[in-house]
Amino acid sequence: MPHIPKRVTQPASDPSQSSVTSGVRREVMATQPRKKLEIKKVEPPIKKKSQMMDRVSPWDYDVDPNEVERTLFPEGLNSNG
Amino acid sequence: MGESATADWCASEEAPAPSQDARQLIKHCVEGAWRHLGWRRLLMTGFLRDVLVRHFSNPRFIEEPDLRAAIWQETAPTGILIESIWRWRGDLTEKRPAVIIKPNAYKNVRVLHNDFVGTNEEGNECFATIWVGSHTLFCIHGSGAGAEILGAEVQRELTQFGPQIARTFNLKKFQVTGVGGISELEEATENFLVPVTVGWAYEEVWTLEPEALRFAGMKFTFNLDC
Repeated sequence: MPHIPKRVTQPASDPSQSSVTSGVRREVMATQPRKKLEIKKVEPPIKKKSQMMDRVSPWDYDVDPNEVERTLFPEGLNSNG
Repeated sequence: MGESATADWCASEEAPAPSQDARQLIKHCVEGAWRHLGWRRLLMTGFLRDVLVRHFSNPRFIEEPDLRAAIWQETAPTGILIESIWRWRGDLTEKRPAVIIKPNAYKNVRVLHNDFVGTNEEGNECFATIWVGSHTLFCIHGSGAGAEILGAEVQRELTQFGPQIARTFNLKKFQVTGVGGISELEEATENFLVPVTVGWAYEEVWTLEPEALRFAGMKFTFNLDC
């Protein structure tokens, strides 16, 4: 019987190309528990007006007259006129 | 700041001609109303508008070089919009800077008992009281830096001429009380505003003239002989 040399397959440098590695990987993936699907609530891209903290309307702006009085008359208005 | 943003605020090569519309404003409207009716909040709104219209009607009056192209005109196209808040429309401020004037709350400060000053030589009672309030001038522009520049221009004009304004128009006080932080305008897209608040105080004086002579008393006679 003639001698038939044994063929040796060299593993590829890229582990993903290796049949051994890919086989292990497949096995691991198969044993991992399947993740439960999560439904996330997606926020709308445009916020509501009430959520815009930095935006102001001139109509909403008011100045307390007591504060103005204190600034204009820090010493107070005297009762003698 | 990018080139497109700065280009909005660079003065053009040719400065616009002074607006002729502003010349007649203060003398014929505000001063006349003040002399006839005395101070009131609506008059103060008009007065502040007229001061700013006059200021922005001529490039010579404008301190900030980047604002010298923003010349006010009564009709479109105007370089700057100056209006009271009830005449303001958001779409008008899309393309140009604006100053929107809003009257705030005002209060009575009583400095005399029942506001009573005394009786004059004709026998009429004289009264006086003081009203304190404020206006906020919203300096609006499409860029934040533009709003800051406009706010500073308005604040400096009113602060520095404040003593003269108070003297001329017989105000107890006229003073920029504060400049608020910069905010984004709610109504329009990508517009910024800087609020400049002006406080004022004026005296309201009045006299009550009775239509008939003062009631001095009543004499009673009793007939005790009955």
